[in-house]
Amino acid sequence: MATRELAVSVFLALRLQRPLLLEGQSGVGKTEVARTLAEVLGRDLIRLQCYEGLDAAGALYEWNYLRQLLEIRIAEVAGERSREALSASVFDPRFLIHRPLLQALQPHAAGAPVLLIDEIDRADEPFEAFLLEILSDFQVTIPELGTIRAVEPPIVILTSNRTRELHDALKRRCLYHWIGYPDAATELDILQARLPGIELRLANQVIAFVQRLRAEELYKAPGVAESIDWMRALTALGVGELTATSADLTLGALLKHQEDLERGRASCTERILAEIAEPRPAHAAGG
Amino acid sequence: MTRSSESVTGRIVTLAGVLRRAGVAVGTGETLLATSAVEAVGVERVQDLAEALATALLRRNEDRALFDAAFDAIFIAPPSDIDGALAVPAPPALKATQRRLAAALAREPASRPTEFTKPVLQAIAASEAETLRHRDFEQMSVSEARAAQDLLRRAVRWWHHPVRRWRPSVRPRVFDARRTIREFARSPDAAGLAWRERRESPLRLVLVCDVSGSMSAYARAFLQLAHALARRDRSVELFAFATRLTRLTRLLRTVDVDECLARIGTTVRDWDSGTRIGAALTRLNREFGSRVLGSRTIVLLLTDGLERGNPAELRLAAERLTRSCRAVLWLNPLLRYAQYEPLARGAAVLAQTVTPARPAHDPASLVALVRDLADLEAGRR
Repeated sequence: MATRELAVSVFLALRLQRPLLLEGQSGVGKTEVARTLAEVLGRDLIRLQCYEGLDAAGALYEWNYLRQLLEIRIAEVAGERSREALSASVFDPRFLIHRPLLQALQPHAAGAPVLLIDEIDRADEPFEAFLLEILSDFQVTIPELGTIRAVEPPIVILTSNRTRELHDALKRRCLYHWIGYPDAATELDILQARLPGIELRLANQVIAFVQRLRAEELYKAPGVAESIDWMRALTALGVGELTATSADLTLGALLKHQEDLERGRASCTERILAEIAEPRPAHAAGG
Repeated sequence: MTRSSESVTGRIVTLAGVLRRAGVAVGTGETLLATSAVEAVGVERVQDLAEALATALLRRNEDRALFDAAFDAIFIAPPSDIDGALAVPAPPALKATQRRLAAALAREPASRPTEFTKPVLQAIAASEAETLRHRDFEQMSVSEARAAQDLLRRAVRWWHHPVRRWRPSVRPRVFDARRTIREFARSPDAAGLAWRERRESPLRLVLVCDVSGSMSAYARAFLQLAHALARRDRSVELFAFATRLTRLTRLLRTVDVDECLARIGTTVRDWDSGTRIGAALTRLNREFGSRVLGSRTIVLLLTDGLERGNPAELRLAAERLTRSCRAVLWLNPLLRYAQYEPLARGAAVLAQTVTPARPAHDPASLVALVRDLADLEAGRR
């Protein structure tokens, strides 16, 4: 359900073989872009979830130490004392654990995979620098094994919630696209695509409400994921039409801060409901 | 066809140049990328063309408004208007940030609120030296201020910033299988067990500086401290407020401390006005909270607590702030008076909600602050 703008950016990322950096508020579907792309192209999706302290051992490769220790023990029992032979048997590719980045560099049957580097803003700056190296050459050197180079570079999607600014050097390697909140028509399409068979009138009310709620002063405005959750919650409760009571009861699906919830219940729900009812006064009387 | 593609390339180069002049970081690499991008999407649809160029040239969403205006001027305006649109005055004396605003405003005032225009233009009009004269705090002589600045810089220099990773350890901590095996393969007879331990996680600092009239001398010293910290550690966020909160983090990248302070002087628009601490902290929570606050964040709040706004709002905001970071350290220059008691409304609220105030009126108290922060980070406190 991509907008034309996003489609252009994704097309360019594929055509120019550049990583695509997607920024935007949480819950606008950044991760979904990579998932859908992999699905549409029929490629494997390899996901690297970033976190503070993530390093090469977690992202690239790690040796399987237990099996290596076993190998050493076996060599000892067999009376093997040659250092070269020992080293070769311990650092055998069999004992290499492939982490997401290394997986992405290896040949895949379906073609180069989609590599999703999710929430890169959560990783720290040394990892960014490390990533920079990988993204520029698509090759890594493992001291004991040698250099591994991607035959065909993977399709790289990076996402950032913008909890901090990324380093310029990393940004320069990438194409950039900002994903904003969708307009009402697009959001309705998304809702219908994700929750087939929903009641159109309720969906319209939900979208109109959420769109207006985003304009309020909130700690965290609801994203598309929250709209879907809310729609699901209302449907589960068997609500046919949005009212102040049903909205207040389920507002927790939309707003995740106590201050926002209080504010929403105290001042937003009734006012917004009145506002979205205005174009159709016939329904307002019944609601 | 060749003719039109030539002119498109020419316009891309022009666009890149205009953006660069306006302070957007656009290099040759980006320009080349933009050319390939346009080749890939074609020029049939103006919206696609704009999107392709934005994707290739921009790296921050904030630059988008500027880009759209420049794109309209270069790709959509009739040829005769292009020269006019590009003839943006950019006096060499003005610094990049001011030029950026001047260029942006000269071309596209419509999308910005009109009340924004006047103070910005005034700020641009004021020369750097003049601004400095207005912002100069006469409490210290020039040489004293220099000496104090060096003192702060040296205090900060000894504060090393660890990264949250493993490091080799001599003492038994956590078994380091990787190093053990590597050493064993190198020399099977001499190798023993190798150990590793966690490094400490670095603290992130958010400096919030009250620049209202009563604070100016201390605000300046505090900003110097912020600059010294930023030169050592890039996870420093800086905000200033009197009546409204301004984010200054980007300006801290300026290498020269005097130029940095001068830029801050022209960016902050409410120097020497009344104080609304509550409103500023509310905005900090709401707009920047998720981006800059966290469990390893220390907020340094420099203010004398002379609140003109609503104390109830201040209480709510301060309580929320203390909940969303490791600690809020309140630095109060009024502690230079031995008999000081937090009696002012704002000060009373702050004394109840955040940690007790620390002094911040002389270099020694700021040096002590840095030392305590280093201890906090190393887990010694």
